[in-house]
Amino acid sequence: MNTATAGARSVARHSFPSMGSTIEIALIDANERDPAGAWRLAETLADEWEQTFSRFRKDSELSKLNAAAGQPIHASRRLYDAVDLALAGCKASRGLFDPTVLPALLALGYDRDFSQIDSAPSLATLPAAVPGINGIVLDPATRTISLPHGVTLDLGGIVKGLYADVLAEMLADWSGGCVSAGGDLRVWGDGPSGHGWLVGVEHPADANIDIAEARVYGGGVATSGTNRRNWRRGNREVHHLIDPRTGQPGGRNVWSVTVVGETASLAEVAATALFLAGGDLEALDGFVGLVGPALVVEMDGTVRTVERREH
Amino acid sequence: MATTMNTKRITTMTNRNPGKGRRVLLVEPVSRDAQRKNDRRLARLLIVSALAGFTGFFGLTVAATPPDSTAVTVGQSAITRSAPTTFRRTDDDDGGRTSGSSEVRTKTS
Repeated sequence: MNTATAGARSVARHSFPSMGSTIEIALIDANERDPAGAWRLAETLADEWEQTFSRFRKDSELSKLNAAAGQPIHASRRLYDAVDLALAGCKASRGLFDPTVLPALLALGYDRDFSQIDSAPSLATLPAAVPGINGIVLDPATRTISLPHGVTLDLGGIVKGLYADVLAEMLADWSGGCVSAGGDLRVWGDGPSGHGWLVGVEHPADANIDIAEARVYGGGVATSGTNRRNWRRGNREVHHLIDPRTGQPGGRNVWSVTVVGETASLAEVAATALFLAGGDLEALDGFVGLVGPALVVEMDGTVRTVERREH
Repeated sequence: MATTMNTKRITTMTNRNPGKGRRVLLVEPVSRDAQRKNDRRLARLLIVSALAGFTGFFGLTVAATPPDSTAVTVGQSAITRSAPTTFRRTDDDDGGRTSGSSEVRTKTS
């Protein structure tokens, strides 16, 4: 743990690896109370998250759900609500955010933790079809989930944001804080400066540089892009953001997209949708009043902002 | 119902003005726009309700098994809604600032 004083406000920071990335937490006024319990809570919750949502663990609840496609499975409340939210995000994005892209990811070689992906000499000859969410049935009365045959879920596009949201809610009695799960973050209260949180946006070309910044007074911020999770297949560079319309890596001419939203999970879903839409503003139509503004960095280095949509 | 009324009205107007049949084209955009607004409203309701249920559930879970009661608040949130936020470029002058300038950072996930 690191504790530093900035102005009149002290901030304690803690980080640890989880979910194939790094969890980073900052809490304000740490001189007045011991944050050790908060750190334990964060690590316990992260362990539970992996046990529920990891598609790389055969014993995770998500893996068991995927293996049982074709028959209804009684789900934990945690998995049920996450799938419910993912389906809502799919509908809001008109299918651009799609949790059923897993076969396409596997076809591209993303079948293990990202750190263990090897380059392969050839690419799958045909893109895997993305079946879409039609046919997935959630029954709230029995809390069961039914996946049609051939449909499997990858919730990697939403569960980091959800973790940040849920942990932030749990830590909300701290006067200010930030939970970042692999860069998808949720802030509340004021940061060290006393005026919200100054959020830097990582430059897609250089992780040591911020390309932009925004002062956020509460809510989530998420970035989707290709600069971290990319690998080679044959003579082609591929990445993890699959366009459901093609089953192939998408996001024409876009390098990264950053979205501010009411929550981290909403921002994460909206950022994926906006990225796959090539930065087209219409991708956010289903999120009116819930997200905005957004920052789009195009492959040629052009940076443009998309204003908050209120109506 | 409103869409049907608009369709009839526009069709009638078109019939009264031979040669301006293209106005019929207005029918589709009107109905499609109404449908899109309904879709947006539904999607937003779905998201808000799903997230509310999700976070509410986790509050209850923590109440049952608190790792440290001082670090947990149930049914209380200090998280505020987003205030107006704008992005500001930081690489205009010197090609980029170091990451140490910001208090927290969003990164590609």
